[in-house]
Amino acid sequence: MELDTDVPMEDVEDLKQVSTSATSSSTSGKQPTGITSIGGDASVSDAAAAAKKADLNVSSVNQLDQWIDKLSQCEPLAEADVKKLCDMAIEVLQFEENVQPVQVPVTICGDVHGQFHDLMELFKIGGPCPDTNYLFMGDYVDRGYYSVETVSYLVCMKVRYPNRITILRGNHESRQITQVYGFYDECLRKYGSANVWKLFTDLFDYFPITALVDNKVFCLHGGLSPMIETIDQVRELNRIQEVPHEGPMCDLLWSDPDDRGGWGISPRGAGFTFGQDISEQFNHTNDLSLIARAHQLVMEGFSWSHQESVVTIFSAPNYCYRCGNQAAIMEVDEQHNRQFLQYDPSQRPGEPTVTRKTPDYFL
Amino acid sequence: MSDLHKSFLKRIKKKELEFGLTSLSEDSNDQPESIDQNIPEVNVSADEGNILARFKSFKETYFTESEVYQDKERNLSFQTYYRAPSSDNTTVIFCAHGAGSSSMTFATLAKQITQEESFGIFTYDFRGHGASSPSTEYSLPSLVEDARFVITTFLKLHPGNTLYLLGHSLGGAVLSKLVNVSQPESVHGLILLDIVEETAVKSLTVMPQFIERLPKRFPSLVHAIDWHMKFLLHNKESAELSVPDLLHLDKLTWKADLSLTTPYWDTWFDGLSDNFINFSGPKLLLLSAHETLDKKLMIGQMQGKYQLVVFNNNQNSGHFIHEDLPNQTSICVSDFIKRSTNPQKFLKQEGVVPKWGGKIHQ
Repeated sequence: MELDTDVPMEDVEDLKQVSTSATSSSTSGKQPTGITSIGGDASVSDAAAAAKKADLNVSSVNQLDQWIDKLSQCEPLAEADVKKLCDMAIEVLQFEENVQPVQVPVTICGDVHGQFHDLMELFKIGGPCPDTNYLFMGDYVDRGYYSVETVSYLVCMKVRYPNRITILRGNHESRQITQVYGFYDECLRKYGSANVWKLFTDLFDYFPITALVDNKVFCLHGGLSPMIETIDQVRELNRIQEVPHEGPMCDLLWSDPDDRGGWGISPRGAGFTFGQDISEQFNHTNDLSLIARAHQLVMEGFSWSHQESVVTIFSAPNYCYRCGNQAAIMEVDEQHNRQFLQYDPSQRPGEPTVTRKTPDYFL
Repeated sequence: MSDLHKSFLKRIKKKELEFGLTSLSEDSNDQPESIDQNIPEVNVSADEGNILARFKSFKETYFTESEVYQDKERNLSFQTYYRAPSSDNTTVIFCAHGAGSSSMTFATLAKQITQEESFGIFTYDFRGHGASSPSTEYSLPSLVEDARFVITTFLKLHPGNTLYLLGHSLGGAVLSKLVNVSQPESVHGLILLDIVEETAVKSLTVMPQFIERLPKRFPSLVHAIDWHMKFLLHNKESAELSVPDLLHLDKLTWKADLSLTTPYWDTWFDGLSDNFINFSGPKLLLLSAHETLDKKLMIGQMQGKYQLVVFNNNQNSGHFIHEDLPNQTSICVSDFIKRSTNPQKFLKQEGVVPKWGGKIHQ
């Protein structure tokens, strides 16, 4: 058996996986020098993770491929399969770090929000996974009509190609938010009970909250926190929990850049706003070239702030089927060159129309 | 449910709140009771006496002032109610009710807020509503001028206060328009309760039927309250304070004639979403059951321009969210105001102390 043999670049995790897998044939001769660049301090959990990943045997791979095929048709998995999938995903995600290391080249994506067909369009524009490495910065569910299919698909891909795709947590990957903005209701509608919602929201607790691309691009859903001055302080957080109402983990998933300098309270009621001085100081302290984040709708799909020290990427075109915005993804190549790919909503017949109950009284 | 049982539940709720265990259900709300048309007459009058006594006592004792503001130029008078903030506070929540409602729609919310916080509360009856002068003209510009007159008069009488505008339904549309035309300097924040332009405009098509269905009069006050509990409200304690204010208590007929407002509906919600989004201060939108944002509100929300709270509680809340869930509404409104007024202090109370990057500005 070979995993990802069609992938042009093997990374260190793949190497370990190959070496511990009994049935593997040697696939690529990647030199071990890459190991140190990934972060040597996490060698214990890396080893454990590699050992776990080796459990992805032939039948698991076949199973995952079947699920991915089914989901590609926008058909939800059976509840029992969601259970199996989430169990497999926890085995992978629990060993990822709060600041998950990611290597170039990688394509960085923002909010998807249940717009499954637009996610398929994204993979067409950016190239299929695993040929292209992907980093998603959260908000897979809510508002769109296919949150179940979208999150199931991305989690399947994560388990199938753990080193090719990184999925971070967004503020919508939360029990509380999903009860208001659609994912909970969608699960009830599609499965007749809240079991699948429970499985996924329990899984969300394991999603990493930030990623660091080649030690230079810090990626997260929201933004900076007045409680977090260094990336090491993110590593110290206990992330395996519901997104809190305040505090550093909340801020990372809720904050927004602002034209005003310094810290401001966020008009959203959670997180903070941070000015250019804050971004520049954070990038300087942590030797970063860029903060990439999502969370805010930007009409062109991407938007620079703070003299190119922060970029916002939003990957749900015509958000919620009414906002008229473009979507974008950002490719970062081996030389750290950045390229934005913009796209419009995918063409598809007969989007279900939202039937909203007219209130009896509204004066 | 006995009073003892109720107070027991309240205590439990309070404890839960202290421990941060906010559930989505509201305390002390019995389920709406089905209307029993054969309520014995004796009980009706006894209940009615108690309800009226509580209603009058609330109006007389809760508010520190109930003044009639005379607009001599336009020959209009407005019934106002004011409870001053405690000495250490200058924040006043300026409340505007919706069409067909009255000042007392805010009774339980006001009680709840001032029980916990030292804010002041101000509210007034719209023209043709409550105890303000009757009218046949209800266009949005007129209602906005009314609000401006009332705010200006209030600030003349009580200078130095900071206002947070809170509008329910049409009241929210009026206040949003008011700050859009010109924002009084003392206005610091804007709060809308269960009003979205697109939804409101859509629902106007069914309003004529609704108005037609309205009973012309009620056989008793108890019947009137039960009718409201059946069709509009979910909290009896609130209903007993708000419904008596809607009726001429001698004839039990409506004070406000909604049919007179029909010609003006198309003006009421026009531009509401823009007006709200373009308000430069902090803003909070509180919705009752479902998230029903229109395009402008959706973009604004996704760009982080305001705070949105949706009470996903279909069983116990309807359009009159502040009456149905006064406790939760109070917590949201109070936190929003405290956070906006003095972020540093509020965050400190929440245990957040910034480690770097300097102070947190408003």
